[in-house]
Order: sequence, then structure tokens, then C-alpha cells
Amino acid sequence: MNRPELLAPRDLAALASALSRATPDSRLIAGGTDLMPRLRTSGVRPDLLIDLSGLRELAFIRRECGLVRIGAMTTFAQMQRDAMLAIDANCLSSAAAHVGSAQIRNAATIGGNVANASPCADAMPALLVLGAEVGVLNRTGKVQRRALRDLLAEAGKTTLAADEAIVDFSFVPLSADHRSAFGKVGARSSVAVAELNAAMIVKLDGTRRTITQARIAFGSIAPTAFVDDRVAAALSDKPVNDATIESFSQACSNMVSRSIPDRSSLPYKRHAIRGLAYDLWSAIQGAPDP
Amino acid sequence: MQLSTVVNGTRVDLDIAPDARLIDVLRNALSLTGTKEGCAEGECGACTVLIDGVAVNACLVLAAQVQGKSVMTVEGLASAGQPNALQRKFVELGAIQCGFCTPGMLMSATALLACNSKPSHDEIRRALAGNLCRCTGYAAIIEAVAAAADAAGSAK
Repeated sequence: MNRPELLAPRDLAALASALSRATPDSRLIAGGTDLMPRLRTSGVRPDLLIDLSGLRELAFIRRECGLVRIGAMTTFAQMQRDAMLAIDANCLSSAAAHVGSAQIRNAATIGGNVANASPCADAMPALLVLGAEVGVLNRTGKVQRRALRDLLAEAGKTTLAADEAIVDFSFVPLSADHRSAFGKVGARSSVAVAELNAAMIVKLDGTRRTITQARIAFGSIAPTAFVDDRVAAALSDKPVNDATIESFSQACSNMVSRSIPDRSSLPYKRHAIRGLAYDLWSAIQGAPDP
Repeated sequence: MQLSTVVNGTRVDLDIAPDARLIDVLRNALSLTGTKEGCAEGECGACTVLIDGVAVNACLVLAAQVQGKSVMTVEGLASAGQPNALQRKFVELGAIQCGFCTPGMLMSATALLACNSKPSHDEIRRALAGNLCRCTGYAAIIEAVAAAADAAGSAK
């Protein structure tokens, strides 16, 4: 069996030069939690492995020029612990806390989660609902910024070229009249792959009794996570009361019926998502005040 | 490729395959067979080791990624052939049955106690959520970790 070559760049210039040697068979490895099992079992035989773990400069969470910036090599454990992130983007902080186990969160990175493009990636709905932009480095060493939604191609596949790598994410932090939350349905309460996941941001008026705007993104339903405006419309300009939440939960269920009419999981998911809608709502109410 | 790392406090220089997993290097090249392979996909936690003090699944780590770092396996807990306080509590409280998950449990608990010397039962449960045990039902394991924390606290 041919062994892959391994390159371990220590800075972005070395990463760019490593990328210039990458082919469609090459793989970037960050935390390894998705790629490592696949190297053994599903016939992934890279010609070149580019190990990103030495890129310490990509492990950061910063506030810069009015934006939150998170380096691609930031682990979910770092995100979960970051007190500012819980305020600036509770949905993302909470998504990080819901990923796998302590061991997985210590290794798995936000860049890897997005690049791996699993339909059930927990960071994805949170980043989508925040309208995140992605910094993409190419072989020339230049970083381009793209909307995250433009990176999503299909299950397990992004639009990134073989000679491109994610270096960071940026988004506008939520302000004091916003609340955000992440919710997930899995086979058990933790260490579970999502069967449904969602992130939601609502904007409240001064009295906190009316939702003026809402935005919601779902994962684990379609091949890629997506923002759904029809579900958000069930909350926008609505009073904060039980009737609103019930119609929101119904809108979520309708969305599942529209999205996966032929899937065997439909009967389960269109019921389960109603519970997720209520979970999201109670998480919103318990979310910290930005 | 050449790997230089520190395992259980000892400098190790080895020739490894570029795609070798840390668990295989530990078990096969270094004969540190305390680290167990259960699921090989990061579910069971039997292969938990500490890299620079942080608990990770050795089955998901490329051995090359520990270049210049410090790895601690369950063999690193004992000193002079004697089990440490946490290991002794596992024995005293019957937190071991078949023993397969024990090394991983010990390493996750070690990582927890290093940054939280007085964890609540809930914090212990969360720290051990990535470690599966098919024998004990977990209660004795959680008690053992709590007892080790108590013993360390009262010894201070």
C-alpha cells in the first residue's frame, strides 16, 4: 500500500506552498476526528496529507474591527470555554458544547467541521444563521473571503478547490436586543451525531414582548445545512407567547415535510422537530443578554 | 518519517509511517498496551490519552501530530510501580470490572481533576461522557473519581 506523503506547515506561507502540491486526492487534516477513521475504513488513500495542527496562528477567537473572528484551527473546547463567544454568538458557543465528547471537542476544529461538510455538522447551522464569512487561503498565499453558504456543495463536499484551505471565520456579533440558541436531537443527550440540529437568532423589541426579526438554519435534514425564511416568518413580528411558539413548531414540521417528502425518516423527523422547536425556544429564553 | 516526542516523561525518537495512528505507535512501537482500542472511531474513549495535558482519543490522532509534544498514557500514572491515588480509588470502590475501559476512564478523570480539583457529580459525568463502560453501570466509576478528589482535597 502506498503511504501518503505528509507535510506539516508551521505558518501560512508554508501552508500555501503545501497547497500548491495538493491534488484532488490530497487531504488536509486538522483535528482528525472525521478523517482518521476514514483513512482506515472507507478506502480514502491520499497521495498527500497536509497536517494543519502545527498552525498555532489559526487557533484564536478575537474581536476585530467590529467582527468576531475565529481561526480555523480553534477547537470546539476552546469555543465552548470562551466567555465572550457565549455573549457574542450564544448559538455557536452552544453548538460547540454539543459536539461529541470532551475528547472530541479537545481535538475537533471549527475549520474541520465545515470543510468535512457533513450534513449534520453542528457548527454549520450556527455559522449559517450568523451569516458567517469564510477566509480561504489558496496556493498563492492570498486569502479570499466568501459567504459560508457559497462553500456548501453537497453532503461531504464543499466548493473548495484542492489547493484551498479555510483559515478563519468572521461574523457580526449579536447585539443586546438579540437572543440566539442552538438545539439538537440525537440518540442520546450527549456524544451523539445529530439527527436534527438547528440554530436560531431572534431580535426583540424594547419591551421584550415582540419578536421583530428571526433567522433560523437547520442541519441533518437536507444534504447541506440551510437557512429557512419560511420558518423564520412564523416568528417575525409576532408576540412572545404560547400561540407563536406553537405555530413556529408547526412551521418547522411543515418545513421537514417539504424538504424530505420521500425519506423514510420523514415520519420521525417531522414530529421530532416540533420538540426541537420548543427546545430552541426555551434555550432562547435562557440565553445570555449580549 | 522521524518522530520526536515525550511519552510519560521520557523522550522518544522513532521512525513512523506518515499516516500511522498514535494508538498504534503507542501499543506496537512502544509496547504501551494499557491504551486500548475499542471502536476505532472516537466513540468509546478506551484509547484516551493526554496530549500536553488535554484528553483526546489516540485512535483519531495522527502520530505525526504529537511531534514535539508530551503524551501521557495510563502507564504514566503509577510511580515506582505503585498506583496513584485515583487508581487506588478505582480499585477500592470496585470501579473496575473487565477493565477494558479503565485506562480511558482514568485518563479522562486525570484531565478533569487537573483543572477542576473539586468536580460535582455532574461535572464528572460530563467529563466521562466520551468513555463507555459495558460492565459497571458507571456509578462506581463516578464515585471513585469523586472520592479521589475528596481525598486530594483533605490531604491539602
